[in-house]
Amino acid sequence: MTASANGLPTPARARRPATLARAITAELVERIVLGVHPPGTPLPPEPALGEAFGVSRTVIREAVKILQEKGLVQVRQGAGTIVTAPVMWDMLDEVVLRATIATDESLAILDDLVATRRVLESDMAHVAARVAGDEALATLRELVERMDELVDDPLAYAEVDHAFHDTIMRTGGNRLARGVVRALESQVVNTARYLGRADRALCVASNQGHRRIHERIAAHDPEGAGVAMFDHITEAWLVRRGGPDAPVRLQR
Amino acid sequence: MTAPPDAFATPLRRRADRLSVAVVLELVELIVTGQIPEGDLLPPEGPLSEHFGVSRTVIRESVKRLEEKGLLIVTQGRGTQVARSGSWNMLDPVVLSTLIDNDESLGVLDELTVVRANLESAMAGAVAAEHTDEGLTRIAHALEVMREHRQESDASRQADVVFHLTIMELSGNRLAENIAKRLYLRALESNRFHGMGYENAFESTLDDHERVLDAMTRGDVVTAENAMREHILGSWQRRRLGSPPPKA
Repeated sequence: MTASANGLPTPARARRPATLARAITAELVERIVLGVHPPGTPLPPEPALGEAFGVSRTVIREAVKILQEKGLVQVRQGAGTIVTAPVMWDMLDEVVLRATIATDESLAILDDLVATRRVLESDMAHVAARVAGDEALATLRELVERMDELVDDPLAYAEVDHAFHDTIMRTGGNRLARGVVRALESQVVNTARYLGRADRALCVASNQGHRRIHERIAAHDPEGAGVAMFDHITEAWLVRRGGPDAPVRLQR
Repeated sequence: MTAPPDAFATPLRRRADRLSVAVVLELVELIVTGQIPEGDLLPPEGPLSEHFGVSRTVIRESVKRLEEKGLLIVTQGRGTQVARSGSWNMLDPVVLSTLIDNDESLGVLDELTVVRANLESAMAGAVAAEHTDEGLTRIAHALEVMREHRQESDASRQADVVFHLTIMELSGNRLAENIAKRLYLRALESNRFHGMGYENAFESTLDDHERVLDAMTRGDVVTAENAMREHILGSWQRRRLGSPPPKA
């Protein structure tokens, strides 16, 4: 969206030759996450995989190399390519996280994601309340006001919403924490189960949360800002969540 | 000369792989340490291959790896740009290792400790909320093993790690567990993470662990969370090297 606004060409991912290997990688990641190839077992040998996917061994080799980078397999001399234990997987990798979310039919993984994100973001709001200068505060206020105007346009609202959270994370200054949250976020913004319904009432309610967070940060009240962020993230998820099982893991 | 082409192909490919790994390490370091700043364009393939003394194929291969790690953005017509640090995959093994190995200038262990403290405190709270006898027994066992050692040793340090990993596992939060575990295990390989010994380090770790377990046993979520957070942040403050972090 921003790219076309600038008149710049969008990345031509689809046209690049590496696309084939990426597609095969995504497929293999999904199989591993689903347990088709359980941890500790070898992947089928290259020729068999090549035949199964109808691609050359070069493409398979490339795909296996990418799997290795993501921590999903280990190439052992003589033993072939072995699937590693889940704790070795790079869960923040976009392909791995996307497959993990896509293959989990319950809402458990999204509940976990929200619980993970909110503890990091509420701590960053805590820090922001201590260190925020006039510029950051002005930006946050502006963003809250812009969201007031966008409650009828959920897509545009979501973009400013994202900027609001990111401003607080940048103010907090913990690059690692911000990197974790951004990686978590980037994979869920497109899943319908996470977005759920996005209508006017939800936008209005969500911006009340933002206003409260901004107010506590502006008051340099770290505890208050942390709690406001924690509650905002929890509430925003619970109203969208739905689903048959209670969100046990989000209780506190 | 009579050897079939295949006999050459394999070793050559392996060598190209090894070269690519070395180039990847070097490029990751140049970017993570800010020697090639965020937003800047990477030099074109030609000069890069000259600089590293490798073929353009190896360069292209390496750039692809860095793109996967979120460090580079390849745009047709605009060249290859260093991505903003907000998009870097910080948990990629190479990126994380480079960050930690350059801790002296980057201060990433302070950040890592805060992330750990937050995630592990949430996980300790989750265990307190849903504790089972079996789970508590496992945690108590790790504490007992550490206590039996009476003083700091490799074995007691190992029991310390087991205590933390067991709580992560029992939390049932697969994402938080994966993230915290990967950060923690990588940090443990760094001398700077171990920092310096301080008085009563062993005893105070035992006390802290006991406090966490006690709160979990009582099902006291808030106390379990706070005890874990204070333990991780407090022991880091006491052992970290160098000047105190900027009071943020």
